[in-house]
Amino acid sequence: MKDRISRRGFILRGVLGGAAVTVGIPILDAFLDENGAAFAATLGGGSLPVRFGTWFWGCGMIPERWVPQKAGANYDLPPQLEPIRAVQQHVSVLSGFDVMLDGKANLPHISGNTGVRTGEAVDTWQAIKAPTFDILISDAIGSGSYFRALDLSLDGNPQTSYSFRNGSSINASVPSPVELYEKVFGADFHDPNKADFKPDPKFMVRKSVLSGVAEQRRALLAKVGSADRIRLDQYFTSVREMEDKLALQLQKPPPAEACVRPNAPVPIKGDITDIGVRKANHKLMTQLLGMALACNQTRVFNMNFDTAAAELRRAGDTTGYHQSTHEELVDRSLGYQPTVDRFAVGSMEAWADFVQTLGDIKEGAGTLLDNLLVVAHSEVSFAKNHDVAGIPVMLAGRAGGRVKPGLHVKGSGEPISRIGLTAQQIMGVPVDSWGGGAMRSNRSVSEILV
Amino acid sequence: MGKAGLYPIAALAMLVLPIGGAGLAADAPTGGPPGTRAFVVNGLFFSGGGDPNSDSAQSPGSYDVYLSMLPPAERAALSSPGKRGELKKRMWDHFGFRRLSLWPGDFGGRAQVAKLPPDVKLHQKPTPEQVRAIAALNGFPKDRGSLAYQDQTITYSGCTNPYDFPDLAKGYVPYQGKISYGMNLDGKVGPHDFTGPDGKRGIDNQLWRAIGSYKQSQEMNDPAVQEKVMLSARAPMLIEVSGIDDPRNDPDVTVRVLTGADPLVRDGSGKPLARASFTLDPDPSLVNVTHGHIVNGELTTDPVDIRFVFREQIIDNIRTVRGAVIKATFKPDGSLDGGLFGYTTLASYYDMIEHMTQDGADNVGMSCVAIRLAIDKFADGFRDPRTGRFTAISSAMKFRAVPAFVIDSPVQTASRAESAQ
Amino acid sequence: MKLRMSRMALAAAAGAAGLSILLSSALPGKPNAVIPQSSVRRLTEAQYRNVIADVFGSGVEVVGRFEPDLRVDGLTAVGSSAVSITPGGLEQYDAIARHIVAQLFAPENRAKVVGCAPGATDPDGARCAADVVTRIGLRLFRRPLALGEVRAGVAQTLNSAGKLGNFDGGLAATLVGMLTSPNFLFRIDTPARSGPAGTIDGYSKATRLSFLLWNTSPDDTLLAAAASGALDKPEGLRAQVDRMIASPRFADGARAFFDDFLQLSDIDHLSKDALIYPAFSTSVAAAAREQTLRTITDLLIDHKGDYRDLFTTRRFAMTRALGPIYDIPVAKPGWSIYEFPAGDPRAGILAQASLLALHAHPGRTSPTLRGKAIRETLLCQKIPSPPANVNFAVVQDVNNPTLKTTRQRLEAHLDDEECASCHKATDGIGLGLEQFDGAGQFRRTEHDMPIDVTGKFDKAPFDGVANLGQLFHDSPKVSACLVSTVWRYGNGRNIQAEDQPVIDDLNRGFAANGYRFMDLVRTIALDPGFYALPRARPAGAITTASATISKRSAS
Repeated sequence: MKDRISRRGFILRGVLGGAAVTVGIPILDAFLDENGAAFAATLGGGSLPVRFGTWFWGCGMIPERWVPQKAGANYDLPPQLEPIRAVQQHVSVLSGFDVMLDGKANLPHISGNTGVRTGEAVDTWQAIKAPTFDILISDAIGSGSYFRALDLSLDGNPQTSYSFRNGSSINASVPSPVELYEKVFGADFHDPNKADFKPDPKFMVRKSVLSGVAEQRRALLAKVGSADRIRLDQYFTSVREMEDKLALQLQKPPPAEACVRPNAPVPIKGDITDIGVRKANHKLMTQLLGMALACNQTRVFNMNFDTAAAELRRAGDTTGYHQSTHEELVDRSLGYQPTVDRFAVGSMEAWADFVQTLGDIKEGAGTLLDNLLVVAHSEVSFAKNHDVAGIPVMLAGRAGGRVKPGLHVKGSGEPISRIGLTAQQIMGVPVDSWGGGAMRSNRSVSEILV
Repeated sequence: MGKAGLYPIAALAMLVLPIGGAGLAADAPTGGPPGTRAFVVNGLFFSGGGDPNSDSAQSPGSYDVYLSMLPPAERAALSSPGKRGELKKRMWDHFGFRRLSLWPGDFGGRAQVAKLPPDVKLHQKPTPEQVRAIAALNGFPKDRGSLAYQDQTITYSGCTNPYDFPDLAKGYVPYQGKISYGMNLDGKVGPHDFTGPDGKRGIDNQLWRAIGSYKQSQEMNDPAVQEKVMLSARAPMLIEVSGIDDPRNDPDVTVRVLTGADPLVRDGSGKPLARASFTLDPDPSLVNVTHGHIVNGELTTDPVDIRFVFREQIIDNIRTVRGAVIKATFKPDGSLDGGLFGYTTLASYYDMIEHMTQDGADNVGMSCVAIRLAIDKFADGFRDPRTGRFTAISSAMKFRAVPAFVIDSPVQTASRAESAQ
Repeated sequence: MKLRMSRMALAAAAGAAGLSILLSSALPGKPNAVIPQSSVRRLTEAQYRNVIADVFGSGVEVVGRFEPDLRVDGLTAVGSSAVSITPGGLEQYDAIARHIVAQLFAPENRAKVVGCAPGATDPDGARCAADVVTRIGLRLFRRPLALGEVRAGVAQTLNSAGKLGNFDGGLAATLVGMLTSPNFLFRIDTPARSGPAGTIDGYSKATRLSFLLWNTSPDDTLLAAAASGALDKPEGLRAQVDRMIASPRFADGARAFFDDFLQLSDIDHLSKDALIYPAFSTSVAAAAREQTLRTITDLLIDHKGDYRDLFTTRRFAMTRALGPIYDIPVAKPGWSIYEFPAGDPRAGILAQASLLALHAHPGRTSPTLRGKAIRETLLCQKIPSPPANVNFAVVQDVNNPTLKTTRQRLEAHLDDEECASCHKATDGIGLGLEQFDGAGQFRRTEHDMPIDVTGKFDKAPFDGVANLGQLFHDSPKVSACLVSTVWRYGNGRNIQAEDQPVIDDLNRGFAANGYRFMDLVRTIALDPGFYALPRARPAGAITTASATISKRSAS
């Protein structure tokens, strides 16, 4: 057993209850898992793959009614977070992370999302520099499955998507459960349990290169003193471990045990802009998505509950969600906008449903959530002013054991690009800094890392 | 200069930055020229009267105006929020509004793109002549079609051409209240004047009369909202007070009202970062100089015409306030808190409204047309001798400002040296 | 899987789990940890990046998580002789290498880097592979490859090319192998084959020299000097040393040294309470580090100044991000030199935000931490850890109505005999810096009480940081500490008894010649002892480092 020196001793934490930001030392142990499970996403073989997804909802929340007071585990649930109570243990809340506009315009319902997804705020579509971070992740891990990624929208509109390689080409979404079923489980269903396995020559090559390195051992050890010999031998032991991991990749992966081809879904009837209908549609889509993940059809997905300027409404109400955020007055006795509050709560109910549904799928020794990381976010915090500070973010899942769920982390004005950076690092994208301008960061959100 | 020599500068340095209660402000011998205190304004908004939480007579936004023009059955059909898209289409078709994106790829490739004449280069702002050509090529009505949305679209709407759509002013009501924040700018107590919250009469704030009945105006006037909002952070206003001999009482100080070229940023606690350095916008017309006096820690400036930039979300405009007066208090924590009063020119005020775009105005429930007509009607300052009409409207803006350092650009340094000679 | 040497034994033997640990002895006065002399030093992250930029161009991205460097008695340079590479670390080096190599084969880089391909005269590309492996191998391994190594590289390239179906893939795989080879990741000294016994060969000399002076691998000129044997002759060595010190790249080397010496990399992990110090942010922290490094190079290199003047200088490098911390206008957005006026309390690097903020708590100052850091880094003295059962409640209560200033709260330390023994040494200095709050901002009062910044340093009284700086300027301990630290940095090990005469000589020379940093480095680089092989230790000598993790004291 290695000396597990606690890294907590090196984290400087605000002791006086102020909004402190804590940063730990580079977390080496994320890559040091003794069972090799931490390497699942990059090397695969012998373990369950780790999947990644985003879940988007529009028009943010009301900060005073959403942000928990307590940081860390067992965080309190303010009224708009009450819906996640049953799944709180799976969900981390990241509050107070900002999109920094860096002197650029705050384009309503655009700047926030661009800032979160690309790590940089821009003035125009053409200036959007980088792919969204979900694309960077699917570039890194998506090639191992039939679909590089699944983009899903729930409003029936294939243009509802926040996943793009640049501002001019946005990935279209699959806009309904029926279409998702057709795409994944239809006639061309690629059953993982029947696939023929062919080892990838890239891994063979890498393994043989490492063997070549190992062959230098004797000559080197002869050149040095005894203490140095021990150190070099530790290095060569590391080489052998890597060779073993690469060897695993050359073997057939285990069957996708939880995969069961579902029946074709019955489309949900009703006005898709009504939040009740939307939630039913969402549940159905999530069930299909969950099974698509369990059948290793894809490792990356983007789910959009509604659009940035949320077009949701409630049957019988005269104003919709977005309109209400701008027009509804703050109720004097309540202290907040009641209609806006209801929709925010409704969005959180949908999120909780999403987490619950995926958690119901058993996989390995646990559930799908254990092998998944979801980043849920909106594009504003307080929608009335299009405030892009403190954009709400939540995580779900354990990412194959790399992530600790169930924490509240206070960002205290830190750039929200740290979250995109952390997600990429967790998913094995080789990146040490991300984002642009004032949001360029090389600090991951270490509190959530195991 | 007042009582120069009575207070040694070193002691003044201590007085100028009184010790903050929480011990947060550095009180070292601070940099910057002695006798000078500068501030960056972090929230400048039009203020007036009224209760933001009350439902009293509100003027309607364009959608509501259009709906009121429809027969009842149609009105009901288009009123539900699910029908918002269709309502917008119907309204735009009815009035003949047009909006085309100038460059392909906007909104992820979803916007309708204008046909461009061959001499228009991609991503270069078209000249006025080119704009006319683009409008003609895309079937805009004659002499219509303006750049909008940060010069990324060519548009014809109630906001670009308010006088074309008088119907959209239906249902508008001016602000009805009698009490308003503001200043007595003309020294008189007239029949249209307000009474201040402290009972003072003769308050001139006709702009509030014009726009105060909109929800949006009321909300921005709510201190709870203002706390959270840092307006025009991208081109912040700077106020520099120099020649201070005694920060409590000084009969003559110099005051410059300036525009910064660097954005205002937040500090770790979410408030504006204090003691940052700002390079000035090189445009010399954005430097406004006047004199003032301090009485019991309150600064009042002599009237002067002021030009400054207001840049927020999609709005980027130069505002002109004529005969502007600043009245503000030096607070113990080092900040400056007060108001900017004067006659905002109709042209510069409406420019800001136009920048909102039709969509923007519709979303916040305002009508560009109604506002245009209202400010024309209530204008009360600086009559144009040729037309006989007022060109500016009395207004009042509140602001808060935190300590800052002003860095003159070489142009300003040279001109200050010149004027000092 | 065959039975390997148990990791437990390895870990215990190497004494390092790949984390950053401060190794320090348990009692004051005891010498630094005895690290066995080593001829194997692992590249630090900064060195790795510099080498890649030098060999392949600064446009090549190096992305990934590096195995953390280990600090031994304050220096990662010494720690580099103690660490190895863990499995996780190797995984990262491999990923970093694959990303680098992928860029090298991109069309815009391939011609410059690879420059050849299989063709009519070289159908399988064996000649091309040999050329690339030889050429790049020389720069990466910092020595010419042996014939056998080249042959193995070619064979591997062709073999991989066969499996992958393309030559470039095969060559790329070989290059990745070279970037993960111990010959690249470790600087391994090779004994000279001729000449005086106990010296390293010319290429090993070039490596030592290059990393000391420029913190990177030898450039073509230096490699040529090694090849020709020039480095084995005093005049040849001198020529290279002078060339490299005169180069602008020497400033990079100086920065790397001072960054290690002052442990400034810890600023990457620094955070402050956002409500108490709202002006502080991660960019302010980074700017503070840069400020100190630029102040140092401005004085010691651009102006060839006296090291001691670092403690009294009023010329601070300044940038806009730091304006709010120092409460001064900063005219230019980039970096410039700001001179505080005479009489301003801010003078010397002890008044700079980097050191002051680094050694303070997130929400308040810490005279003890500051005093300890100054004693340990700038004075090379040892301060042991506090006992386990200390009650910190009084010190932490910043709102105590009677004990208003930190000084008053810490007086408890000095009342207790057991505490006073160490705290006299640390607090005496630290309390003199109390006019700077936990973020390095100057203030005259704490809770409306004027702050008393008097103290004693080595029995001499002082009042405030400018005074203290003057005492440091005059203290032989301060300059001696620099000398021994530069020596340890270059040699990658702690000083042993037999090294003392050399150290004494260096001290004398340093003092006699105006305390010039460049001259000190030059003298070390020209000393034949710098190129000696490790002396054999008697059997049974200590082979593990005694490591105590020093916890951050909460006082």
